Amino acid sequence: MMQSDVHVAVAKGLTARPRRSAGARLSSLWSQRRGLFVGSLGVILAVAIWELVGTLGLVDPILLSPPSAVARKFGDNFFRTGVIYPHVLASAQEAALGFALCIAIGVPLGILMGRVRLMREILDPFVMALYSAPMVALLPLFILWLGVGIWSKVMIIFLGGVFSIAINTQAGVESADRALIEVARSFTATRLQVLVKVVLPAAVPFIVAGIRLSIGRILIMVVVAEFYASSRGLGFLIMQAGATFDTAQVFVGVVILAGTSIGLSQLLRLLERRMAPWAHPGQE
Amino acid sequence: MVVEAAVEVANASHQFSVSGRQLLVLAGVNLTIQRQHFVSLLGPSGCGKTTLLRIVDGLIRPTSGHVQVDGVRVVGPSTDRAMVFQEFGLMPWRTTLQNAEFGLELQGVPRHERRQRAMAALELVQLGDFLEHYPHQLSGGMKQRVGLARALATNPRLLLMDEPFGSLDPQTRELMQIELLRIWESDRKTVVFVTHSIEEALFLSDQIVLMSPRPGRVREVLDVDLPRPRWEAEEEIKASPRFTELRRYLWAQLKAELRD
Repeated sequence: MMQSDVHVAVAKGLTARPRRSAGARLSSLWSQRRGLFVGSLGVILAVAIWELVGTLGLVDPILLSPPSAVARKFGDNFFRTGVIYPHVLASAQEAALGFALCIAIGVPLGILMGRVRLMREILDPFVMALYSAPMVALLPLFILWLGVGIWSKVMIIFLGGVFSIAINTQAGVESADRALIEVARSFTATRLQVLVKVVLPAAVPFIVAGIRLSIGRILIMVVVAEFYASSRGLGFLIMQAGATFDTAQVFVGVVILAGTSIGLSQLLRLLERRMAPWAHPGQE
Repeated sequence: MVVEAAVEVANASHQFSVSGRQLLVLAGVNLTIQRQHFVSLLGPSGCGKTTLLRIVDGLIRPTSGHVQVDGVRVVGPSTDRAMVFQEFGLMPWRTTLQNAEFGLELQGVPRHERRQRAMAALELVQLGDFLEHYPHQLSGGMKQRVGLARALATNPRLLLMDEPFGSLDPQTRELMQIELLRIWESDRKTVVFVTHSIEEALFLSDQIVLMSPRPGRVREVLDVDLPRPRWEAEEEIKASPRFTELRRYLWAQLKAELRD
């Protein structure tokens, strides 16, 4: 009686696939990883051109250090002089504090706005205004209020990232399937149980997407905040290097920031796959 | 022995407000369902059969009138009742086993016990080998087996089924009907089953409540005097003269309904 169902399961690839020839495997690897291959090739090509432009003397190295010089600088920074560490540490501290606050406040704020109508109505204009406003413009104000220490920076980082998380969380909470909420109610779920067992799990992919979006904004805020009023941090380092025509050092800072952003973003993507495998059918 | 009614619907009416207009979905429905009976609500779309089922479950309150289940007035969902949904209603982030445990989890049944009861229910619907699969990895028929297991695991006194096989292909649908009877004929819970298929209602039910649309009301209650158990005798039952006779009669009633 179960036969037909089982066949469907087999057709969907739940059991081991038959072996294939090496050629077929290679061509399927190509079709799956095509983007990665082509993308890597593009990057390698771009770096090579950049290097040539520098070593052939087409552009003054003061304006554009070639990758080899940046790499050397990178090595010096980390392994010879060690000048980078206090800056990385300062930036990481600000970013981590701001990021933690973003999640700790942004997720509950989004849930509140998604679930309580009155809250949404009250908070919507504020969130919209703050999300759209160029937050950097408020930095002088925060420095006035909180001083030039870490807290004015944490504040601006927090405000830079919190709303993408809140808005995405709200969208996720609102996207919860009404039919599933009704199922839970029928099985005697309380309001809290509906939230915890249905609404929040449904919102997980949205929340993670919001957190990923916030990472980019947070790193911008780290750099800008350190441009303004700071004597440490990657933003300060980049600013100072630029002022002293040390373009290689500028690029070292940029590479660290970009690497951090990509790394965290990928980490979250991985995390989401693990937490919400159901949101990616066909990608197991 | 006087058998107390399992479900007693007394003069229940229900109104929806659709874009400012009041729509009467149910108009003064009276209905008595006996314990251990399999009763189908049959009728064309718009006859309020799903609304009536949701009122019996307690998901919605009737605008007027009331419902009693086992002598207790329904004011909201209860652990005594469990529903099987048309679109399955499985949580996509839960595995088969976790979905089957869902109702027990909400009721605060301890982890060990709910696991055992969910597993037993999944064995009953023959999904014991698919415990760790997610819904998107299951076929429609398997998904509804999970939906059925989730309801059975809570051991309800009243099982409510809202067109549970409506979105399945015809062959799977027939298999599921047989499966349902195999399970039901062994322990005979009271079942209220919503369908718009005459064959389905006839094959499964002890009683068919024929409903009319606009506004939804009970037109007739028909006793289905086909012998049981039926699950192993599907073809004989469906080929029997009595089955054909009842089907013709119901179809004539429905046709008249649709012409009105």
